Amino acid sequence: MSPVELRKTTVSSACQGPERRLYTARAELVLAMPDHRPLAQAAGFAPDPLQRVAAAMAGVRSEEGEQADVVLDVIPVSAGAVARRRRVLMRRAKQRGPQAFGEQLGGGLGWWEALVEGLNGGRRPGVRGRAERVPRQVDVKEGVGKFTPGQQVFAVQLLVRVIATHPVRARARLNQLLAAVEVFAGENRFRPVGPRLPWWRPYSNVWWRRRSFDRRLESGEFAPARRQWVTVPEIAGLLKPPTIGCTAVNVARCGGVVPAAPVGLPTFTGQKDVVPLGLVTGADGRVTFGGVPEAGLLFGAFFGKSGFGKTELGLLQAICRAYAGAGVWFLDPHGEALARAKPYLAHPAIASRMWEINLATPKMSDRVASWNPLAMEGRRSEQVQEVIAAIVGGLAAAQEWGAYPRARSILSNAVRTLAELSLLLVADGRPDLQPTVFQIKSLLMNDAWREVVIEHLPPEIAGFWTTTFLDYSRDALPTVVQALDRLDNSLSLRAFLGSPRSSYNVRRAMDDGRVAFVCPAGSGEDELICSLLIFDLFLAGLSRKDTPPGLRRALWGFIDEVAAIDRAARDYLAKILEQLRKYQVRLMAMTQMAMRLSEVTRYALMQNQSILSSTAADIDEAKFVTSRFSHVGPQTINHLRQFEYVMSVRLKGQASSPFKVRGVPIDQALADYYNPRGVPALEAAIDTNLERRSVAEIVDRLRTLDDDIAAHLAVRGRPGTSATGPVDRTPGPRPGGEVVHSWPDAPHTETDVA
Amino acid sequence: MRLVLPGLVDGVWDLPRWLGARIAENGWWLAAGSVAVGAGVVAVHVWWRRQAQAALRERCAVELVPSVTFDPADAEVEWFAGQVASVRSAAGALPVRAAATRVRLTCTAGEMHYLLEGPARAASLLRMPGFEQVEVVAASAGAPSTVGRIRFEGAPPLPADTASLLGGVR
Repeated sequence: MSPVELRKTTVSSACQGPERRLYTARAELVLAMPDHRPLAQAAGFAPDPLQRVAAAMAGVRSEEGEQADVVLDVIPVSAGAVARRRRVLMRRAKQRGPQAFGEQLGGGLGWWEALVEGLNGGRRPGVRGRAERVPRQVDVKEGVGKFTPGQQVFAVQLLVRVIATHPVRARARLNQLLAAVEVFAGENRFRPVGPRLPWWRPYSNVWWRRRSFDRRLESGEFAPARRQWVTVPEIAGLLKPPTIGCTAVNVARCGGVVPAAPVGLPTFTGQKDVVPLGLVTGADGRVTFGGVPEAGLLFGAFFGKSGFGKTELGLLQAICRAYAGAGVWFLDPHGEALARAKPYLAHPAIASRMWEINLATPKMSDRVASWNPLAMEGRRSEQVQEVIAAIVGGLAAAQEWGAYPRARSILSNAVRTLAELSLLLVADGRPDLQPTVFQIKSLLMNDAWREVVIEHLPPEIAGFWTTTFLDYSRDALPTVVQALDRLDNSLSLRAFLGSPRSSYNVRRAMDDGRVAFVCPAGSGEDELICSLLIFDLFLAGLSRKDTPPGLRRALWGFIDEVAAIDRAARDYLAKILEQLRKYQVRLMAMTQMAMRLSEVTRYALMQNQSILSSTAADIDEAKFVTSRFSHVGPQTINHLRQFEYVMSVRLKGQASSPFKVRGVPIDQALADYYNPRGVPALEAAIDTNLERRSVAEIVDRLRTLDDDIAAHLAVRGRPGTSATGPVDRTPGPRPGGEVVHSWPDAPHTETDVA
Repeated sequence: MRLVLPGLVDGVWDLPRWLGARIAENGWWLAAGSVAVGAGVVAVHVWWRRQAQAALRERCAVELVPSVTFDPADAEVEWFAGQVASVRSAAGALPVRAAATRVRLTCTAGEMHYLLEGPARAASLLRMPGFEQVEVVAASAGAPSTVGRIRFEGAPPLPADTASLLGGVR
C-alpha cells in the first residue's frame, strides 16, 4: 500500500486546466514515551522552533491546490487531575524503589508485595515494627517527571497533513514537517501513530485511521489517539507566533501593532451623519464597519502607495455623502472613479442631482456639459470682479505668471471687458451670445472685433485698449496668447468652455447639494483646467458669505492625486483648507506622497486635517506620517497590506489614537445599491440636469460666435443711439436672460445668487 | 487469608454460588435493568456526541500576525498559555471533544500563517491580544470581507424589477 492516498480530490484551476489530482499525506503525532517524560524545553526562542516548520512550508504551491498544515489542539487539564496523576506516579516510584536513568536499582516492590501491602493497610509483611522506607527524592522526581505542582498542563493532539500535486511531493513535505517537529525531542519525543515498519510507513493514511484523522482536522474535534499531557515549557515553541528568532522569510508578519479602534467610533450602517471608513477592530476584538461623525470632519489627508485603496475609500465616502443628501464635488484626474461609481449612483435619490463633467477626448456626437467662466447670466455687475479673479487667478496660477505682471494686466482687462460685454448682452436678452474664454484671444488679436466691442462699453474700460494696451502688446501679448492657444487646441476644452451659457456652476452645486464628478483627464491641458476649476471652487466657497451660516449646505470635495493638481492650483488648495471651513466646504485630499505636495499645501493640510490616513508607504513617507501618530512606527506603515490603512480621526473634538482600518470595496459595501441597468437612465438624467449638448453643436456655435456678437452689436448701435435703447445695468429680471435654465427638479430652479 | 462480607456469605468461596442464586431469582429484573441502563448510557453518549458535533460547527478563528521585532519573554508565553487555557471555561459546558483550542500553522502561497481557532462561544477570548507585538486579525483577512448591509436613510435600495428605471424617476 502506498503511504500516500492516491484516490484523491480534484481541484479546478484556471491556469492549470480544468482538473488536477491532489494527494494527501497524514500523520498524527503522539508522545513516544510515557507522558510524564518531558519533551525538550528550549531556553528562549533563538532559534525559533517554528523556523523549520516555515522552511518546510516554503515550497507549497497554494495556487495549484497544495496545502500543508500542522495542527496542535490543546485542552487544559485540571489541577485535580494532574494531582491524581502525580499521586499515581509517586506511588509507582515508591514501588519501583531506587532507580537511575529510568532503570531500577536493587529490589523494589513486586506486584504481589504491593497487593499484600495494600490489603494490609499499607503495611509491608515482615517489616512489623521497623520504620517504613522513604523513597529517595531523586526517585520521586524521576517518577513524577514533569508533573510538578504549579504547572499548567495541557492534553494535546498533534496532526500534520500535506496535500500536494504529486504523491512523492506530499510524502516528502510530510517528512520535512515530521523532521521539523523533532526540535521538540528530548527525554520524550513525538512520533507518528499508525504502521511504521521499515518498508511501510503510511502513518495515519491507513484506511482505519484516515477517516477519523480527516474528521478531526476539518472539524476541530479533540480525540487524540493516546492520552498525552504536556506542560507549557514543552510546547512553548508552538504557543506563540514566529518570533524575531525565526529567520525564515516566508512568515506572515506585520510591521507593528496598531492600537484598537477608539471607543465611541460609530458603526456605519448608512446614517446621514456618519462618514464610512472601513472595517475596524475594537478593543474587544469585534470587527465592525467603522465610521466617523461628519460633524467633526472638515478636511482629510489620505496618503499611501498607488493601488492600495485611497481612491476606493474616497469614492465610497463620496457616494455615501451623496446618498446623505450633501453636495459632492469629486475631482477625478484619471476619470475611472466615475465609471466605477455610476452603477451605485443610479438611484432616484441621486439622479436628479447628478452632474458629470468628463473632459476625456470626446466624439463629435458626445454630449457634454458647458461652463463659461465669463458668463454673467444670473450674476450682478458687482460680480465682475469675481469673474476676473477666477479666470486670471486660475490661468496665472497654471502659467506661473508671477513674473509677468503685464500679462496679468492684459488678461484682467480682457476679462473685465468681456464680462461687461456679457452683462450687456444678457441685458439685451441675448445670453446665447455671451463671450467665452475663447473670445479673449479675439479681443487681443482681432483689432476690428475689439473696436466693435469697446464701442459699447464704458469709457474707463475702453480706455485701456486705446492707450495702455498698445504699449503692452509688443512683448506681453505672446504670454497671454500662448495660454489661450493651449485652451483653443483642445477639443475637450473647446466643448466644455466654448458655450455662451453655463450649465456647470459650482456655487449652485454647493447650494443645491449637487453630486458633481469632474474628470479633467484627456483634455490635454489638465493642469490648466484643474487650476481654473479649483480657483472657481475657492471663490464659490468664499462667495457663500452672502448666506447665513445656518443655511450653508455642506459641500464635500474629494480630490484624487492632489499632488498633480497642487502643481497647477498653486496656493489655492491651501487657501481652501485655510479659509473655507466656515463656509461648509470640506475637502478630502488623496495623494501618494505628502512629501510631493508643495510646502504651503502640505502645511495647511496637516494643520487642518481632521482625518489623517495612510496606506502602505515607503519608509521615508511613513516617517513623515508616523511622526503625527503616537504608538505607530514607520515599519508598521511600511508593512501594511493592500487596502489597509492606519488612521487617526477627530472624535469629540480631539484626535483619536491611530487605529487600523481595512478597506471595503464599494462592490461589497454597496452591493445592494448596484444598479448597472439604471446607468442609461442616469445618463439621461445628467443630460437633463446639465442641459448637455453635442460637441459638434457647441464647436460650430463657437466658430461663429465672434461674428454673431459683432452682428448683434452692429444692429444694436452705439450706446444711447441704439434702437434697443440704453443699457439697463440694474439687477433683476431681464427679458430672456433672467432665468438661465429650467431643471427637471423644481427645487433647483436657478435664480440670481442673492 | 480471609475476607469478611457481613450478613451475606461466610467465605469468599461462597461468593459465586451466592451471586448465581441471586441472579437466578431476579433474572428478569436484572436483564431489564441492564438493558435500561445500557440504553440510557447509549442515549446519553449519542446526545453528548451530537452536542459536540453542534459545537464543532460553531468555531471561530483569528490570525496572530507577529511584528518583525516580536521577541516575547518566557513570562509572556506563560500568560498566553493561561489565556488559551481559559478558553475551555469561557466556552461553557462543552464536550471535551469540542472544547479544544487549536493552533494551526498553515501556509498560503508558501507563506506561513499562525492561526488560533476555538469554540465560537469563546471568541472574545481568542480575539484578545495575547502578545504585545502581535496583531490579532480575522482569519479571513485576505479573503473578501463580509460587511453588514448598508441602508441609506431615506434611500432604500431599489427593487430588482424597477432598478433599470431608476425607480421611475428621471
